[in-house]
Order: sequence, then C-alpha cells, then structure tokens
Amino acid sequence: MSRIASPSAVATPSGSVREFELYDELMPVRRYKMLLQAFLKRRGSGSRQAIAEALGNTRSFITQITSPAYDLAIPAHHVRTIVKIAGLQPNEERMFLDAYIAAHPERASEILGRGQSGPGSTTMSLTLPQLSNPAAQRRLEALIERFARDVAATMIANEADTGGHDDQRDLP
Amino acid sequence: MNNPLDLGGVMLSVLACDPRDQTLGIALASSAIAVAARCPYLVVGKAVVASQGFSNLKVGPLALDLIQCGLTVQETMQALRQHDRWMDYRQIAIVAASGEVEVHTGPMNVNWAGHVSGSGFVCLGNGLPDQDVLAAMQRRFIDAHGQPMAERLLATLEAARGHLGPESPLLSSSLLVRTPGETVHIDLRVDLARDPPEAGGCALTDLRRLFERYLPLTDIYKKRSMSPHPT
Repeated sequence: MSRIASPSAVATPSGSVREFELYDELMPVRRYKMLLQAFLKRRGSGSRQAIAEALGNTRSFITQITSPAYDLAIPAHHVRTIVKIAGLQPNEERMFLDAYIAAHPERASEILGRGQSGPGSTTMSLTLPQLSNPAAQRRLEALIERFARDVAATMIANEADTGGHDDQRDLP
Repeated sequence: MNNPLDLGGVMLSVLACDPRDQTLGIALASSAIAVAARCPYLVVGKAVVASQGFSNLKVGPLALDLIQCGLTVQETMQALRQHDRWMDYRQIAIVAASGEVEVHTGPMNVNWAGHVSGSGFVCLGNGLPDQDVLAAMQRRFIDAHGQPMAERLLATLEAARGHLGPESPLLSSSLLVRTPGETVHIDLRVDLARDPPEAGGCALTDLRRLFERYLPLTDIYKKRSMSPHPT
C-alpha cells in the first residue's frame, strides 16, 4: 500500500485548481490572512457577510481576500473597513496591521495614513444615532464611510473630466 | 511499502511548562542525528513547539509566530491543519506558557505514533514499537513532580529507554529549558552519540553526562554575568 497521501487541492480565485503549498513565497500574505481568519472566527458567524455588505462586494470575494487558501491579497483600501467591521480588539488590530504592512511594505503609508487629514482634504463630522448593537453601529459607520468615499471618488473623477471648471448647476 | 524518505528508527519528545514562573522546556531523543537542529522551538515566556515526524523546518517558527501574534495554541494548530497539506505526515506539539497544550499526530507517521498529554505537558513519539513507551514517559513525568524542570524532562525521556529495542538506537538528543528573566538557561544537545550503538552508545546517556557536568556551572555563569569582577 502506498503511504503517499494525495495532496489537497485549493481553488484559486480564477477557479483553476492548484496544489496548495503553505510555505511558499506568498507566506507573508497567508500569514496576515491566517491571523485575520482566526480573529474573524472569534467573532462568530456573520462577519464575512457584514464585511461584504460594507465593502459592496460579494461574499465570495470577501472569502477570497480573507482566506489564506487563496492567493488574493487584501486591497489596501479595504483594510481599515475590514478591521472596523470585524470588530478587532486593539491588540488584534495591531498584530493584523503589522503583518499586513510586513507583507506589503509599499502600502504602509496608505494603511497608516488612512483617515488622517492633510493637504487636499477636508474633514467633515457627522452626528449619528447610537445604536444598541455595537456590530450594527460598526456596520452603519462603515456603510456611511463607504458611501462618502464613493461619492468623493465620483466627484473627483467628474472634476478631472471637466478640468476643474464644472459649474454648480447640479447643486440644490 | 516504506516511504524512501523514512530513515527508520524512533523519535521521542516531552514538552512541559510551569505556569508559576512560565518556565518552558523540551527534551528530545531520536534515531536520527542532530535532532536539535530540526525539531525543538521555543520563545521564552510564550510557548515551546516540537515539530517532528516528516517535519518541515518552517512549521515551528510559524507556530511560534502565530502564538506571539495572539493566537491560542488551538487556533495555531487549526491554522496549520487547514493550510499545510502534509499534516498527515507531521507530528506537532505546542505547549504555551499559560499551560495550554495542543498536539497533532498525523496518521502517516511511521510505525506506532501518538501522544499523551496532561496538565501542562505532553509526551509524543513516532516509530515506536507500541504505546507502552509513552505511557512509561507519562508515568515518570508525573512521578517526578517537584523536581526541577530540566531534571524532570530528562528523567521522562530516560523512562523510554527500557521499552526500545536495538532497532531503535538513540543517536541524538536535546534538552532546552528557559525561564523569563533568567540570565542562564539550559540549552544542551548531543548531535551524535559518542559511541556507536553496537558499542552501547546512546545519546541519552551522553546528554545525562553533559547535563550533570553543566548544571553545577550554571551558578557560576549566573554570578559572573552579573558581577564578573572578583571581589
């Protein structure tokens, strides 16, 4: 009888199947995903659905960016939202972000600087109701943040298209 | 059919912690040479790991890394189980300084392989003739309660010797004990027994001799590390 076990196979994001090797060159990416996966499990079921809703993506996409079994890295602009929606504890957040930046050092400024004001930006505060459910509160805040970000991106794109000379006739 | 990567022989380990002062320790013996170069991993005050069987040199450091990132021993082992496709061949034990224990023996380890664990310790082995070896180790560890960690671990390994036949020579061994804040620690290894097995050589005998020579020196090393100038 052969003692060689058949290796398990893992689907790649493209749907093709490859032999999965934990300790390959993508280990730094797998490392922060392993941490995130463990932290998400601590929060119980429903975390991925909430993240998908907040990011405006499908649950399948969220599975791919949060599971170490997939090669896909977490896009930098999703990191803060995931941390917020997942409700990571401060030490969990620190460990996850450290691991993320270790894997993607070129994205460090985007991760660490996110949410800070600076030249070319302005800060707007908004009063929100305090919900009794902390998870619902996080989702509300993330959805509003996403909405604001999407609107800002659209406005910036419009401004670029019109060369910055758009008039204000669309405004009330 | 034997796997050509199986070199035969036996592999034994005992890992333990003392949650009172977070001392962690591991003792190993193997029919392969230089076991200390591949199997024991320890981070002071955090955890100790044995990675054996068809070991991957990255398993131990990764396990310790995940624990230092805040994962429990159970979460760490679960992460390894999910993502290492060769886990069936591996034998891995983790003991945290808190006393948590997690152990995995894959079904593809050679001959009899398994583990026994108790509060703050685990004995594991593969290539064994039967489970009596580990039972003897477990008894010795429990009986040695109250002895210093290093002595207790070494005595636990020695309890296995009477259960191993000539087909299981012990060519290398290792003893590693660390306590947070200690300036001197025990980190001893026998990479190849002084005498060949046919001449009665045994890495555990050599490790015991090395340990007894080294132990009286630890006080001197401790004193001179703090105050090297003679008074």
